[in-house]
Amino acid sequence: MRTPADAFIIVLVVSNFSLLGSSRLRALIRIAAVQGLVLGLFPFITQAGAFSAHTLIIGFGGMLLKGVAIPLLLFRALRGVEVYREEKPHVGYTMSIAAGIVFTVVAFWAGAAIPKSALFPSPSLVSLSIFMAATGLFLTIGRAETMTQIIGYLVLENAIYCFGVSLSSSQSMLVEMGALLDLLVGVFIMGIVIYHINREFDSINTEELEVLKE
Amino acid sequence: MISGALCIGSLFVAPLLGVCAGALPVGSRGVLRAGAGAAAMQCGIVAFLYRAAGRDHRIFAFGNNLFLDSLSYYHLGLVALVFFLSSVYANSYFSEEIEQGTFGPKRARRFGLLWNGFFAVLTAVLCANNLGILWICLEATTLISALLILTRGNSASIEAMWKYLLLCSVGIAFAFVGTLLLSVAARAAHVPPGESLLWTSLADRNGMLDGRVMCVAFIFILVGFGTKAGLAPMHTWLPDAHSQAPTPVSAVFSGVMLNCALYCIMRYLPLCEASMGLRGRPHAMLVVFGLLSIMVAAVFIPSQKNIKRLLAYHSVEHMGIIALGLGFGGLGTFAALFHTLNHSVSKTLAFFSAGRLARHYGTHDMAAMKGAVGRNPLWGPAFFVAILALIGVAPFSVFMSEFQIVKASVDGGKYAALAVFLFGSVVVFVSALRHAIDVCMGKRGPVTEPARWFPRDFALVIACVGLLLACGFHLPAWYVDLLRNASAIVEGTQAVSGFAGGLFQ
Repeated sequence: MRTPADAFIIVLVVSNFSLLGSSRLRALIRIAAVQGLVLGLFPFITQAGAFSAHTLIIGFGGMLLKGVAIPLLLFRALRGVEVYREEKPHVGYTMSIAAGIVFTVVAFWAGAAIPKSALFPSPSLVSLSIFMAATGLFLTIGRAETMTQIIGYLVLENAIYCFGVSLSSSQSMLVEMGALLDLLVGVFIMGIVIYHINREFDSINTEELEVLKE
Repeated sequence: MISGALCIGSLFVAPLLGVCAGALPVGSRGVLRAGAGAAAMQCGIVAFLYRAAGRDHRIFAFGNNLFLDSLSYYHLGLVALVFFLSSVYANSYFSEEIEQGTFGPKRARRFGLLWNGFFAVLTAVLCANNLGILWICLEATTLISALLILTRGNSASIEAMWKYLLLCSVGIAFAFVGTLLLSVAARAAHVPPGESLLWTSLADRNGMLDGRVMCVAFIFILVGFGTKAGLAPMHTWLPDAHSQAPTPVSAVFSGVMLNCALYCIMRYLPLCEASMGLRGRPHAMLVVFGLLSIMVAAVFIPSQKNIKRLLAYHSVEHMGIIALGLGFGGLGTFAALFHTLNHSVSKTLAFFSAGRLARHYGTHDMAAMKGAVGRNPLWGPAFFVAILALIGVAPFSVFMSEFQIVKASVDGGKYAALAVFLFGSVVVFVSALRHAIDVCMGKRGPVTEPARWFPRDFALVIACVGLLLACGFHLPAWYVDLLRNASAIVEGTQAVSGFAGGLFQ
């Protein structure tokens, strides 16, 4: 570990494996919240002490939304439906961990192939983004409970946030805050849908959603 | 001289008035009428702005984050037109439910709020110069329209909404990666940091962006916005969402929302093409996605049983045709933009008819919907005509735009793509015509409600059929001018030549 960023990368890699190996929905939400809090610190680390109002707002805004507000929304939705475990995932947990190992190798191999340049100042963060995006997509596709799929979507959004930080891309604050707001509203609406699915199907398992299958 | 902020700000007045109408103590009919009034007002505002301030000039506002050019005007006009037609239709569509008390003021206000909110964010997509804002607004359309699918609240609509929300949100997340990569590519062109996502700044430095990064960015953009546009193989949400939404919502989904997602791709196309050395790779990618969509429609349309799913697969086909035209470039781009209008109007009419026939027969199952022309003398023939227009029968304007796309492929020597396009189109033509004959002709099937229509329904059918026929015979000079300017923006070149307004000229 040469820099604080490396320590945070390790935390995020471990958190991804925890997401892939856990069936308890509360634990999944907590892990996603930890990811949100850690990612919120990244803008401060990459700016190396030169904090601007923009960095402070994006960093704290990200932490507040991804680490606090969204997890609280998800906990609330979970209490409403009273489902606490992923019972029958499409892909088993051992296979999920194996897939995670493959994702890690491919992501860091791809990251190593990107030369450090003015366009890509942090290739290791690009690798982490690829790994997180693969994990998020895997959770969205490989799990049956709607709550786990939402967490998969959240991890995918975390990956994009991480990718944005890795590029040190200076979007306008309007764009970054707008993207975070879209995420918050998106998760809020998904929470509403979970309530409707539970009311209509007496379950939040997507296996039940087969009225429209061709 | 009208200020840019006033011009662009005025485009949000009508949708926001519609939103406010939901807060007033008016009944269900009042909310629906307010929606129609807002859309009519928007049609007038777009026409006025185009004549008074638009044409050849870009208008900027709000720190250059919003702007208007010919491509925006064209799509804004389309959005306003389809919203107007659909809002008028909504007054008829919900009339039985209002009489039965199942569409009370509370539900109507919620519907009006979402409907006009959806209208406002679609308008914002089309005014965005900042590509980050464009992405945010398109994502917002997903969130708002997802709730519109849930209007009925039954199990099928919940399932459709879930698939739509998850697939489109994940898809559009990919488009955001493309947007981030674009800002990285802009560094090579020394675009000032604050302008790295301004489309006009990037277009002014066309060809100077980093080509390798732009290649990767365009793949993300195409997959991301292509998901929302219903391009195969990312189209799987579309038949479910279109079939489960209330019919006016299905009409605006198909008539404008898909076009707005393609509009986003159109904005990126010239930037990517120029920075990748004008070797046609982005155009080739569009051709592949276009052909795939046409073939997916050709596979699924023959076996459809649900009338609204049939129309949804037609949307996949027509989005494919538009992508194909854009992929051919030149005259193909002109034809693709022309096809956008033709598809929107014909699909709007098709959904209107299908919605009323489904209510008349009490089912969406085409096997039970027989003899519609005899049973319902307005919506039965309207459905048949809409299907004829959709499959490209002359002299409807869809035939004209498809003919131009064929011409563009022959001119460009793209015979393999042309062969696949023609094969897919023939399969769709035959199978859709068979479905239409089965529904409209023959022995009359049992109905659950008497046929009922209002004078405004006649006006809607006449307006849609009249527009499709008029554009099939002759395009007015101002419309050709607008299309040429819009095509030039998508091409990143000067106005396209070689297309005359009259039939076969």
